[in-house]
Amino acid sequence: MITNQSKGRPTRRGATAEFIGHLWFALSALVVVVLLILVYYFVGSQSFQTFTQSHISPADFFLSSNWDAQNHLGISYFIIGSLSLVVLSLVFAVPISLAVAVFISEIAPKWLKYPLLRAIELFLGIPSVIFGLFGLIVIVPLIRNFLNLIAGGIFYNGYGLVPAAVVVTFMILPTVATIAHDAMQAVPRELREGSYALGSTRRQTISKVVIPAAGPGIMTGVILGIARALGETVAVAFVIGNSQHLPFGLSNYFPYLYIGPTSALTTQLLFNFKEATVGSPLYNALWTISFVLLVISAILVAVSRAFAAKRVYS
Amino acid sequence: MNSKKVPKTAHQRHQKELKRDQHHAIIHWVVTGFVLLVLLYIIGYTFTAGFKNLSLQFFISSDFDRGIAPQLFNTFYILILSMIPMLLIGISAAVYIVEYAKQGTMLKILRFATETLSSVPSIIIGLLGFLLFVTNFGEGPRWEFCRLAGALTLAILNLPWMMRTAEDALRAVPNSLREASYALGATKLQTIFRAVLPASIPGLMTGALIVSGRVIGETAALIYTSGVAGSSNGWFNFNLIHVPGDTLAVHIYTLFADNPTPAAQQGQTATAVVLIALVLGVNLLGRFFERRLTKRFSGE
Repeated sequence: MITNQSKGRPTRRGATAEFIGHLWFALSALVVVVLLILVYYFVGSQSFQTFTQSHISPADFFLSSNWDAQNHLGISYFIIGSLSLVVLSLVFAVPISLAVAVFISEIAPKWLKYPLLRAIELFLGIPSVIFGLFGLIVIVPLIRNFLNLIAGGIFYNGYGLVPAAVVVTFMILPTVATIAHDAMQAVPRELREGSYALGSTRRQTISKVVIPAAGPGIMTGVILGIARALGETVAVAFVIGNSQHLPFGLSNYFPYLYIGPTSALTTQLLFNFKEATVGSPLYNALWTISFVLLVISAILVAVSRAFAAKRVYS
Repeated sequence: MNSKKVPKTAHQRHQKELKRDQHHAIIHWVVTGFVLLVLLYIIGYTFTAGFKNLSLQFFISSDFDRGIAPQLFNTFYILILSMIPMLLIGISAAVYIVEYAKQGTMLKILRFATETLSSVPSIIIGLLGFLLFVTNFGEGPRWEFCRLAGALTLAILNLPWMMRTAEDALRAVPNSLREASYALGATKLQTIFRAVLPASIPGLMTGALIVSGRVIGETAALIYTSGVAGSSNGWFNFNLIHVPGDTLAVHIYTLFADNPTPAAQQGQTATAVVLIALVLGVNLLGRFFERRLTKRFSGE
């Protein structure tokens, strides 16, 4: 025994401790896998009860626009609401966050880069209720006044798709910008120098060398932004107006476009869940909505992983 | 003729390209400045709107519209309750990923699971928490709306983030330290507990503080787990189950959702000031630790 120890070989007690340690760490790592399976199992099994227990046909559920907790449940307007929210906030957020990323990575003077990056990162931590509250007390009145100014009457209360997209833009901007910035930083200096040696200006270097080379990395950021926009609940709930209407439509009055209160999948969950008694069609339908969101976010993760695998520089 | 519009010589083309380059740079300066101004405006506006409604009374009153004493207590109580399992499991899992796991299927599965779990919308994790903790898998009550249910739900929601920050902290420990430990005859477990983990404390602190900021600010996952109740009697107890408790963030939402009165709106902005101050404070503290402790622990 003594010689054993002096040679530094693990004793039997030591070996047991090593084994228990290894087991503990491995089991802890498995927790996240178990949790993921739990999420999919419970949400999935609850969601199918809409079709098995409440006897709603899938076609009717996904294509019908009539949502009435007592009689008829169709979620097509909420799907359209969520999709248009994602699209509009991407239209706002992608160009702006790309510009910010390009500025920090390529244009800003050296002393400005670190503080700027830290400032943008700090906004990642601002809670979503704060963005929602800001949307409620600043952006909604702003949009209401603007729309009534051009429409010349009181037609709009300011709630709906536009303020929701503005709020979501603020929320996903830091995410997309920091990931795009990291992707641009990973592009090797030699590529830029090669471009300059050919006589390019900085604008040409950025748009023809840096952004294409960082492309897959930027796309990863954009897709994470989509996932966040789709799943955002509370901030959107403050400003979307919570009504069972299409997010936009034609109007008889100038500017002939109606943009009013609407709903998204997530806000529908938030507002309706407290009224749902366990086992009722409404309760099952809300779980089905959750499962739809779950599947879409899983697809988004798969796409972002595919882009991440295509990265040349990382 | 139209020589002004279509530059002919190489020199003219070059001059035009230089002009475009300048404009390009100016646009980026302006856009970034605008974004920063808007983001600062969000914080500044909320602060100025809410600051005048703050008073000492606001911090110690348990009145639903005029005080946040219960919400402050619940916020910290839920924070501590959720950080205990999250730190334990999160750091251990990161140790496995960094120190034990070899490149291969296991690591791929873990990466996939963390990424997928962190992309699940928080409201859905909240509904899962409702199913698992508040009700007995939907069949009758288990704990009712309570703070332990909220804390466990937040632990599920933020575990992937905790693992990621802990992993970064462990990877930042130089390999030379591990090799030195092995050279002294230490076993793997001894190396982890006596060399790797102590050296990664600054990074772990930073990660824990950033995750704390997320826990303090979370709303959607708590509404159906710890509840929105603003009960004014009996909130100052440590009862884990059967007693609901709303946090600061949930309080802001509740004041919006239950027909907003002027008093409620004042309370809303004032609560927002406290919440922003807490979250920014925690995040800045994290950054501070990152710099300060890294210097001390790496001996530079």
